[in-house]
Amino acid sequence: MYYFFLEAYAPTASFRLPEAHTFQQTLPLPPVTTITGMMGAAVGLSLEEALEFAKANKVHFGVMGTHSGVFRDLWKYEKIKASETISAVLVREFLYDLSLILVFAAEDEKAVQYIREAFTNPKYALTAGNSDDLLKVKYISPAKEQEIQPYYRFSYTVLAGDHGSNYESDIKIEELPLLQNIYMPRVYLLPTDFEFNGNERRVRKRQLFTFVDVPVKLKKPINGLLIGDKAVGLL
Amino acid sequence: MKDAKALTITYLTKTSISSLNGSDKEADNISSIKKITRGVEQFPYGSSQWIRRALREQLATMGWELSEGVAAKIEKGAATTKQNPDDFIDDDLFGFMGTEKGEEGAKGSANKRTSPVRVSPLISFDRYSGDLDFGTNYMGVEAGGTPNIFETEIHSGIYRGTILVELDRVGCGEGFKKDLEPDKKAERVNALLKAIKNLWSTGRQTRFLADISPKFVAAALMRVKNPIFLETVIATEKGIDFGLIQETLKDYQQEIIDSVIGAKKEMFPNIPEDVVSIGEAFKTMERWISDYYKMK
Repeated sequence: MYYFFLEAYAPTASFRLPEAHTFQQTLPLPPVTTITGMMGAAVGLSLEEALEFAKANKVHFGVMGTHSGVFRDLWKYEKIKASETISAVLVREFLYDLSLILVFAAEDEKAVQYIREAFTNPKYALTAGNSDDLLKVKYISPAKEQEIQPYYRFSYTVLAGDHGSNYESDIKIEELPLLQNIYMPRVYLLPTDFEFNGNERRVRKRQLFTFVDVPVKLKKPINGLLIGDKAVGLL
Repeated sequence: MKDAKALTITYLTKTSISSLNGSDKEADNISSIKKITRGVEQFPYGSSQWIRRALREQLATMGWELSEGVAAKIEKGAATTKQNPDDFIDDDLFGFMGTEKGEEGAKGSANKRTSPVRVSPLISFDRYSGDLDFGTNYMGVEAGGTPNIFETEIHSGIYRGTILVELDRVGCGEGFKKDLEPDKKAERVNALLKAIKNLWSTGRQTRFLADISPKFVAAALMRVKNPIFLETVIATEKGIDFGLIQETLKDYQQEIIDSVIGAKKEMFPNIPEDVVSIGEAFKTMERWISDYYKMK
């Protein structure tokens, strides 16, 4: 499997849970469709084209990241109700100070090189969720080859599938900062593919994903790549 | 110059007493400001949409007609703009999203333009210390009522924000019937620069007149779209970390076409000699923009 990874930073980020409206909760890390959208922004493809590109080239993604906090931002907007314009509010949750590692992998080296090139000179400015969540690319690794292997230990990442009963905690409590929030793995059912009809899109497929926060050790390993000294599962 | 793709500007501003961007009510009779929680401390911020509003207002003040206040064409839709970037600067620079109802049962459609101007929130380096401004409202007393007390959260400190302009997407693309002439594109981006230089928000300014115009800027004309100064302009009690700025300039020298650092020198303790004034820094940026579009 060929792959490269990039390190990025965003002061604010928001990965909205789909179908949330007046309170728009954020996921702790970007889901597959958001990473596909980021790749699309770099290459210059719409989400529909980026999903097709990922499918055609069997592109896999990996993600790791940490943030310093979560905050809720109040938005005021005008909406139409019974032919009248009224003022309404919604609350959107944001991550603060996000450090991110994104991994792009495929069997086809050319596809990986193509995506890597695009990230070195993106067609559209890259953002972390919202169009104003500016993302700075700090480092892009060379494209390399690595054999996929089973790994047990994961932290601050996203794993494909429901691992709610497939883990034990791997925290060294004495090494954690005193004021750090600790979350056990959270499982979400998230869209992975859409059906497009002009400008309209509907969810075609959903899959379960486990968002891992503090370190866990899986009972049954999953396949992934080693980025530095951390394992990342492929999505 | 010809291969420029983006202009990135990271700026600092300083407020002595302000209540910049209102938030949801947390307690009765207290007007809150937006804050980020980090550990046990909170840091005030102004959201990106608040900065965008401030920039629009400033463009209007400068005499540009804005494209606003159009009701959505579908029920329960959000109000939108005229969606006409050919004629309106704000539709061009800030983008839009509008929906059209389909005719006779046909599916509706959506018009959108992704904003070529990206705006990060303006986040304070200084924590919120719980300061409140106490006020009494006597308006109802003559009508037989009693005075009402109220409080407003206030804050003082240095804030940092970033704006990135995708130069190759201004005046063309999504939503345009015909691309603008290069001099019109330059005129719009230079108007935006003037709005940034004179950034001023209308919220709560009657009681807390706050100047949020940049007092320090680090800007670069880039071959790639990357906001390189996003987290590397850091203000501390000792001043600005110029080592980090120099390191950033060195790290991205292949991607930078030109750069400029500007400051109101008396406001920070450690500004080097080669740092220009805020006015000179914006003049330099205007020159980049005029030269870039002349070559297009």
